[in-house]
Amino acid sequence: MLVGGAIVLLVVLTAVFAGTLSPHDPEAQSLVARLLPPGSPSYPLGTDALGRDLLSQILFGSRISLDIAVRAVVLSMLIGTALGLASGYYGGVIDSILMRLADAQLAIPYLVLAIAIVATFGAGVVHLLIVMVLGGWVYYARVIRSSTLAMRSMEFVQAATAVGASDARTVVRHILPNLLSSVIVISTLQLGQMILIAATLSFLGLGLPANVPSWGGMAADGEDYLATAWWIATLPGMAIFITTIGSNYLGDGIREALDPKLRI
Amino acid sequence: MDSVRKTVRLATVLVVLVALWGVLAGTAAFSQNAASGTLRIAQGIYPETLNAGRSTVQDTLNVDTQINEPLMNFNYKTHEILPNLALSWKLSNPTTWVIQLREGVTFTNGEPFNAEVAAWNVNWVLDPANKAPLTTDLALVQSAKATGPYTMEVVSKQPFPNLPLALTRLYLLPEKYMQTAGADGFAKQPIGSGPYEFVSATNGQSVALKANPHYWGHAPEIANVTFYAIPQAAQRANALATGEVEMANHLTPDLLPLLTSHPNIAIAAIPSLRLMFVVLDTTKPGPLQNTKVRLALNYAVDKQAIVKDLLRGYGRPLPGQPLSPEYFGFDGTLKAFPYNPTLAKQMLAEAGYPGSALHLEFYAPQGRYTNDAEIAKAITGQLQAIGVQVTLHVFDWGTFITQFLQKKLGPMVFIGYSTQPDADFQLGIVRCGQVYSYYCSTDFDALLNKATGTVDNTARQALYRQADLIMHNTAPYIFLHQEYTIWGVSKTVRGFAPLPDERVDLTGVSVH
Amino acid sequence: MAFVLRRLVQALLTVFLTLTVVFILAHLSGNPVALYLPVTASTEQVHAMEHLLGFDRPIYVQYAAYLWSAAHGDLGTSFSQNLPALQLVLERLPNTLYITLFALVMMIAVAIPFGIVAATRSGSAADFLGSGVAVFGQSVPVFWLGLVLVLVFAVRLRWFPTFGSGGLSHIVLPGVTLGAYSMGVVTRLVRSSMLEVFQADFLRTARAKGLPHLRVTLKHALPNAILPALTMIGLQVAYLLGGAVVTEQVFAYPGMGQLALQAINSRDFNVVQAFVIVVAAITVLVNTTTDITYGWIDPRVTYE
Repeated sequence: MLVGGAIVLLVVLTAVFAGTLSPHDPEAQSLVARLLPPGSPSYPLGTDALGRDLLSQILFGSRISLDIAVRAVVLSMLIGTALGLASGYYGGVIDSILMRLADAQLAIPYLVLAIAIVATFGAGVVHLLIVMVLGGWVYYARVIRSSTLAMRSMEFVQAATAVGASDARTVVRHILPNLLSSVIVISTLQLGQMILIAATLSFLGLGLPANVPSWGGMAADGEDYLATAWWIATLPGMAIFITTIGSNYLGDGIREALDPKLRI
Repeated sequence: MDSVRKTVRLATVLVVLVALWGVLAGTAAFSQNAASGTLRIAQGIYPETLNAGRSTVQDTLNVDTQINEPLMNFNYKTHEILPNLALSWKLSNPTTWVIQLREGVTFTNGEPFNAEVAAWNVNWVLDPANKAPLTTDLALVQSAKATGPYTMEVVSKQPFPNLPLALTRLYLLPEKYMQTAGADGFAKQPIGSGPYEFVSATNGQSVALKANPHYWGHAPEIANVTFYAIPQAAQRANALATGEVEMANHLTPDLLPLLTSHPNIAIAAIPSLRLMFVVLDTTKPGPLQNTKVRLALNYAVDKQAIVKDLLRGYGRPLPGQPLSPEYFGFDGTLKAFPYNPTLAKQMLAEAGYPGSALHLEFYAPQGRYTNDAEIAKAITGQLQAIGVQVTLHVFDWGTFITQFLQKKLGPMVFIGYSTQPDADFQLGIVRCGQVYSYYCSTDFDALLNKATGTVDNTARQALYRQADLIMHNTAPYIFLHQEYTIWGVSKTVRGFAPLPDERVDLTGVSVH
Repeated sequence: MAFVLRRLVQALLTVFLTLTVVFILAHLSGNPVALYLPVTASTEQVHAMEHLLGFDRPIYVQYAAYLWSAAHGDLGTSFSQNLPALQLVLERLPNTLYITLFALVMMIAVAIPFGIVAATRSGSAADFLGSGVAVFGQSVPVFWLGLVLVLVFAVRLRWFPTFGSGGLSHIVLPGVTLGAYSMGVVTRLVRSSMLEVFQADFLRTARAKGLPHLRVTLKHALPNAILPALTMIGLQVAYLLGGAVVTEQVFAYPGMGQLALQAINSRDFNVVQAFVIVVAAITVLVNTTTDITYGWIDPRVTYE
C-alpha cells in the first residue's frame, strides 16, 4: 500500500511539475533528430519518429492520461453509486431495468461499443469520457446494489425508516457512509484500468486529439517501431504499467485495511 | 531383299529411336517448363471478394487477377496499352470501338472465351445490380455486343477515347459458370483464364493458388502461390525476416534498416500512383476560400524534409499539380512550391491573417497511408512554426473516410488518391459535385469535359496542361508527395518487379 | 425450473437490448456506400447505390426490416464480401474460441495454484511471485504485450509463428496476450477468497479436528473459494471475446474480432451486428449457466 501510494503520488507530482521538469517543449519537432536512442546527448530517453523529446513527452503525457482517468473514475463513481443505491433501495421495476442495463453493458464487447460511439460522434475528450464511463459505472452499481440490498433489511436502517426518516435521509445518513470504503477501493483499482482503456483506444486510433501527448497515444505511435526503435512504445508503456501497478497496490492496500471482504 | 529388309529394320529402329528421343526430349522440355516451388506473399488485407469484378482494392485484385485476367494491360514505362485477351482495338466511328479478341483461350472449366463472353462481361459491369465498381469508369458506355466470333463492338453515349484504358480493369469472368454458380458460388470457387487457378481459401487468412498448366500466355513458373493477410506492416516485416513468407508489400521506410541487414532479403521499391495531398476546402465559407491563404500554406510545408527524413527518401515531392510523371496529362514544366516559411508568413499577413490569427482544423487517418499520422503531425508542426494555429485530429480509417465523404471534416484533410494513370481520372476527383471533391470551378470542369471527349492525344495533353495550371494557381490542395510502393522480397524469388499501381505481376517470376 | 426459465427470458432481453444499441449507433455513424465505389464516383452513382442497399429509408424502417429478417434467422448480407453476415462470423468463431479457451485454461492454471500457495504460505516468495504475476497481467497494455511477445518469442527465438492460425503453436502467443488481464483479475480474486475462507470457522474446526493441512485446503477451502471466482470467470468471457478484437489485430489472427474490426472500418453494419449478437449470445449463455451452476453447487444460494 505504501509503495502503491508512493508511486501514485510520484505520478501526480510529475503531472503537476511537468513544465519545470521537461528539458524540451514536448511538441517541438526536429525531423533530422528523429529516432535517437535513449542516452543521446540532450535527449536522455531518446526521440520519437518526429524527433520529439521522449522524456518531455512522457512527463507531459502524465497530465492528460491522469486527468482523463481521474475524471472517468469520478464520473463512473457518481453515476454507478447513484444507480446502485436506487436499484438496491427501491428494488422492483427500477432494479430490474437497471440490472438488465448492466447485463447488456457487460454483454456488449466493450471495444466494439467504444469504436461505435467514437465512430458515430467523433473522437475527443468528451466522447472518450463517455465511453470510459459506460464501461465503468457497472462495477459500482453492482457492488453498491448488493450492499444496499443487504443493509436495507438490517436493524439500523429499519429503525431509521420506522421513526419516519425520509428515503433521502436514510440513504445519505445511514447507508452511504457504510459504502464509502467499497467506493474508495473500487476507485483506486479502476484508476489503473481507465489508464489502460484510454491507451487501448488510442492504439485503435480512437483516442485524443493527436497533438495532445498521452501515454496511450505515444505507445500506439511507437508500435511500428518496436523492432527498430523499441524505446518509443516501450517507455510510455512502462509509464502506464508503473502507474497501473501503483494504483492497483494502493487499491489492494486500502481494501485490506477497510473492507477485506469486498470483491470487484 | 536382304538389303531391303535391312533398310526397313534400320529405318524402323531409327523411327523408334527418333520417337523415343522425341518423347524423352518432350518430357525434358516439359520438366523444364513445368512450374515449381512455392511462393508466399504477405499483403495488408484479406480479399473481401474473390470476384475480381467486384473490387477496387488493389490487395484484393492482386489475388483475384491471377485467376481472372484483364482484357488489356497497361505499360507504365511507355504509357501504352498492351494486348492481353484483346488483340487490337480501333474506333470505327467516334462512339464505337471495335475490339479484336484472342482466339483459342479457354477458362479452366473448359468454357471457351469469345466475343459473346467478352460482351457479356462488359454488360455485366454496366448492370447496376451487379455492383461492379468499374461501372463508374464505364459510365459513358452504352452497351457491348459480339459482331463476329472474336469481334466485339462497344458503343458509348459520347466519344470515349479512354475506353481501352478503362478496359485494362475489365477482368473476364466465364459467362456460363457465372450463370450456373451465381455470384456467390463464383466468389467461393472462382474460375478464370489467368495464369493461376484457385485452390482454397481460409477466410481472413490466406488464399492458395496453383499454376494453370493450360495457360495460353507465358507459362507460370511457380507451382503454388499463397497470399496471406497480415494487417500490420511491422508484422509483415517480421514474417519476412523469419522466412514465413517470401514477399511482403506496403512496408514502411522505417522498417527497412531491419530488412536490409538481413542476408536473404532485398528491397524492391518504385514510385506509386498514390499521390498525397492536404485537401483545402474551398466550398465552405472560411479563410481557405482565399487563394492567397491556400498558396501560402503550400509554401509553408517542407515537402523535401518530409520525403528525405520521414520517408527516408521513399517519396517524391509533387511538382505543384495533382499529377506525377506516371499520369497522362502531367505538366513537366511546373515545379513544386519551394519551402519558404518567410514568404508564407508574409502572404498570410497580406491575406489578413497576421501573426497567429489563422486557426485551422486538420484531419488525418491513421494506418492507411505510409506514415500518415506522422506526416500529418509534421505538417501541423511546420504550420504552427509560421504562426498558424492548427488542431490535428487523427481518426481510424473507417471513421475518417465516412466522415470525409459526408463532408464533415475540414477545412484541412490529409488524404491520398490513386487512380488509373490518366489526368481524366485523377483530376476528375475535384470536379464540382464529385463525392470526394471539396472544390468547384466551372472553367476547370469545362476543360476536363472537353478533354474527356478529345480523341487526339496531343490535343488532350494540351487541355490537361491548362487544367494543371488552374490547379497550380488555385491550389485546392497542399501538394505533398508521391508515395513509393515498397516490397521486401526474399532472394530466393527471381524476376519480380514492383509496379506503380501496386499490382503483383507474376509473369516470369520464379522461386529457387 | 421457473428460475431457469426467467433467467433465459432475461438473457434474450439482454441480447435484444444490445442489438438495438449497436444497430442505432452503427446507422447513425453514416452509411458505407461511397466506401464501396471508386474515388471517381459521382453523387448520382452514390445515391443509386444507397437506394439499391436500402439506406435511403428512415432508420426505424431499416430497423423494423432488420428485426423482421433477424426473427427469420437472416442477419443480412455483408456489403463488402456479399456473403451472409452470420455465416462469416460463425466461420471465424472457432478461431476466436481457441484463443479464448487457451486464455481461460491459462487463467485457471495460474489462478488456482497461486491461490493455494497464497492461502497455505501467505507472505512466502511464491505468494509474492503470484501476486506479482497477477498485478503484471492486470497492468500491462494488451497491444504492447502482444507486440513484445512476437518480437521475443517469434522473431528472435522463433519458437512460435509470427502470424496467422493453423495449430496449437499459432494459439499460444495470442492466447497469452488475450488472457493476461483476466488471469490477473482472477488470480487476485482466488487469492483473497482463499485467505478469507481460511479464516472461516468451519475450517478452523476442520484443522482443530486434526485433518491434514493439504486435505483441508483442497477439500474444504478450495471449493468455497472457487465459487466467487466462477462468477468472475463467467464475466471475463465477455471481456475476452471483446479483447480478441485487439489481440487478433496484433497477431494477424483470423478470428471474428479481426473480422469485426475490419467490418467497423468499412462500415459493414450487418457483419458488426452479427458479431455483436454472437458475442452477446455467448456471454449471456455463459453467465446464465454460471448462475445456474452456482445455485446447484452451493444450495445456500437461493433466488427470490
